[in-house]
Formats: sequence, structure tokens, C-alpha cells
Amino acid sequence: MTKLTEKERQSGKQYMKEFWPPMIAYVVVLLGAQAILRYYPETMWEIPLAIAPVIPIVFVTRSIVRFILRMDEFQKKIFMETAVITLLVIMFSAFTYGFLEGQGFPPVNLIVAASMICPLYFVIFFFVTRKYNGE
Amino acid sequence: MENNLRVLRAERKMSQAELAEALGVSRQTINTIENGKYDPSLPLAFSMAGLFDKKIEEIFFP
Repeated sequence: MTKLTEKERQSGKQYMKEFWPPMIAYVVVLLGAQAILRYYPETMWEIPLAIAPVIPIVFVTRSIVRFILRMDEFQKKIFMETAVITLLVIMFSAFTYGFLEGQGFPPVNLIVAASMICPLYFVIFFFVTRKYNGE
Repeated sequence: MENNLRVLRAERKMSQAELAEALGVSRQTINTIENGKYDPSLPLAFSMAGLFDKKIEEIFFP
């Protein structure tokens, strides 16, 4: 286990403080909005309720961006390399599947597709980190 | 770029973690610099030079 410096520990604590409240709010709003839409599917609030979970996600995103900005230069470099490679893999996959959809393949749910970004990021992060950590 | 950071650190009996703490970076950053896998920015190189009371070119060389 890598020993963290005081600055990293403080940054991690700050991240947890900023990340979890909006994340919990997201789950509560998501479940609440879905429950309301299930019981009142014809409500005039249908669209606002459907996108309501996005509001706490804005704050989750803010906490992640702030965490990245607190990283040191080498950590930022690793993050940037991983992010760019992930973006390219996603673009390549999206174009490839887009062509296949044109040939009759079933359309992909965007939420499912977006959920694949995080695991993909961590796989690429593993390889990028390994490149720098090798002796 | 090569460097003698490991030697300078050893002379002062500092661990990578202690050096990282002193410079405000992660231990991983110090490790990759020592292994020649990452070249630090000029501000970080100046901080190192200041800490070890050396010129940058006495720590880093091509």
C-alpha cells in the first residue's frame, strides 16, 4: 500500500466530504423521482422529475474536478493520459457500433454505454500507471 | 533525463515519503523521478534544488 503524504490525506478527506453528500442526494432524488413518476405517470412535472437526479450529479462532478485540481503534476499527467486514451477508445467504439447500427444492430441504451466509461477508465489507468511504475 | 536525486536523498537520510512531504508532492512522483520515468516541471526542479541547496544542473543532467 502506497504511503500517502499529509497533503494527499487532506485532499482525500476533502474529496470524501464533497463527494458523498451529493452522491447520497443523487440516490434519494433518483429513487424519489422514479417513485413519483411510477404513481403519477401523467404529471406535468414528468420532465423536471426525470432529469432531477442530474442536479446532485453536477456537485459530484464538481467534487471530482476539485480533487483532480489538487493533484500534483505527475498525478495530473497520469490522469490526463488516461482520460485522453479513454476518450479515444470511447470515440472509436461509438463510431464502430454506430456503423454496425446502420447495418441493423440493436441501439445501445446511453445510460448503459455511459456506465461503461468508469470501468474502462480504471482498466486504462492500470496500464498507464504500470508504464511509469516499472523499474 | 538522468538525476542523482536518490543519492542526495540518501545522503540526507530522507525517505521518499519524507522528500515528497517536504516538496508537497506524492511519493509516487518522487519514485518515478528517481527512476527516470518522469521529468519534473521547472518549478518542482527548482524546489528540489532549493531543498538540497544545489543548482538544478547538479541534480538533473542529460
